[in-house]
Amino acid sequence: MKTPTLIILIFSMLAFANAGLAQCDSFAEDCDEHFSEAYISDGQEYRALLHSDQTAVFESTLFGSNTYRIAACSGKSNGNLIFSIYDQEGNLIFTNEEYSNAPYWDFAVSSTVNVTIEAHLDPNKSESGCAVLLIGFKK
Amino acid sequence: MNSIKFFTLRVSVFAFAAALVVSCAEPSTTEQASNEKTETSGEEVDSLSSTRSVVKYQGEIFSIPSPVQSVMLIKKADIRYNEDLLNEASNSQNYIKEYKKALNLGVYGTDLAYLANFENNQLSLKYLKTIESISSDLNIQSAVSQDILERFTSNIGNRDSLYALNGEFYRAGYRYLKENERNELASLILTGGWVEALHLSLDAAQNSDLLRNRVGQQRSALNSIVKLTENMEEEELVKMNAKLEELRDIFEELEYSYEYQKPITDKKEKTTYINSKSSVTVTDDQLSKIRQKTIEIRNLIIS
Repeated sequence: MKTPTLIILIFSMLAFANAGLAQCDSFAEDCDEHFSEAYISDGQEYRALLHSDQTAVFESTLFGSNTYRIAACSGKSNGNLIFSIYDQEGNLIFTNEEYSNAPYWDFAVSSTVNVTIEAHLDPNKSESGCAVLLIGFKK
Repeated sequence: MNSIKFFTLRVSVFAFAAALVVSCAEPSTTEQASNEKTETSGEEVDSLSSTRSVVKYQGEIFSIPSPVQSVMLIKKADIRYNEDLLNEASNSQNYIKEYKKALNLGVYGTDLAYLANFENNQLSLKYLKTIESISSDLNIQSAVSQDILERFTSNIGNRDSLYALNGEFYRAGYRYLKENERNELASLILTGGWVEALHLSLDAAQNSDLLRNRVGQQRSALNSIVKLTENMEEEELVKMNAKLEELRDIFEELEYSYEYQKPITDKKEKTTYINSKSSVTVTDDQLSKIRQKTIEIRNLIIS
């Protein structure tokens, strides 16, 4: 690859990355609005810069006798991010895709379960951007 | 195969450019999604589209359960207050290196939640000041809004508010450290908080099956903690990671069971009821081994 082309490529990617970074701060604050005072943050934020063909994955433990709220945000409007939750055997527990890409959902857990949470952009709404997931539990 | 790595914010410009170029060339951290079918509610659902690539979080994005949840369970189980379990606030003067400060910021955060549990307002204020001091040393305090700190002080005595503020405070600090590429410190805060919560839970587990089970259910979190702390270079952190691995080995001996049950979703309430059944058996001997190893790890942290 010729040097000028490489430089243009790098700066194009940087432009995308920097735009994404700035977006993330803003989206995380907006995502907060889905948590009422009844919920306590787990003290972490889960962020990823995604293209439409990518899925972010992470694992979590949801303890029994608790209610959790998971909020998923990307963009200023709701419903850009699709998130799904699978149990430790790969069974689908929930996907917000079946509920109009709801930006948050509650999970009442009877018995402790290890879950995998996957999130990807709705390709009909966004081609790339920052994805933010927040987890809180009910007091 | 497309590839991109999870990022930490405000990555240096050229390092990021280099990383992007390398990641395009060597898709080592991205795996093509499997096309595995998953059955749920009688339907066949693709777990991931076969054309979608999976972005693996790189160590720093593991989900660690909030220590506040553990101390809330201690209260629920009606366990007696024991101040001797806490890391004395005065010990904070002994922590000179950044990594020690970060670990103990997590420890003190858990202790503060414990104190809030039992409404020890005087000691809560002392621990809050300790947390403020360490945060200042780590340059985190500027990232945490003054409003949070003021609300902390004005809500001393209000358990529920302190729980919530605890989560808010640590999230703000976590975000700041991530944004400033101080991932290791962010990981160490999580580690310190988790180890302290385990320490408090283990004491309570001697008299409570509820806490005994909760201890046993920490296996997945422990796996994440081990991954978070591997590849750290400080000698003490290498030792800590080795002991965490030993603790993980003990957890692997526990007996776990899991039975999937179909979840029920209430669309109107935006709530899914997860009905699967799980259990863990922790024998007295295993509990004792876990406790001993946790004490060793905690001593490394607070010494």
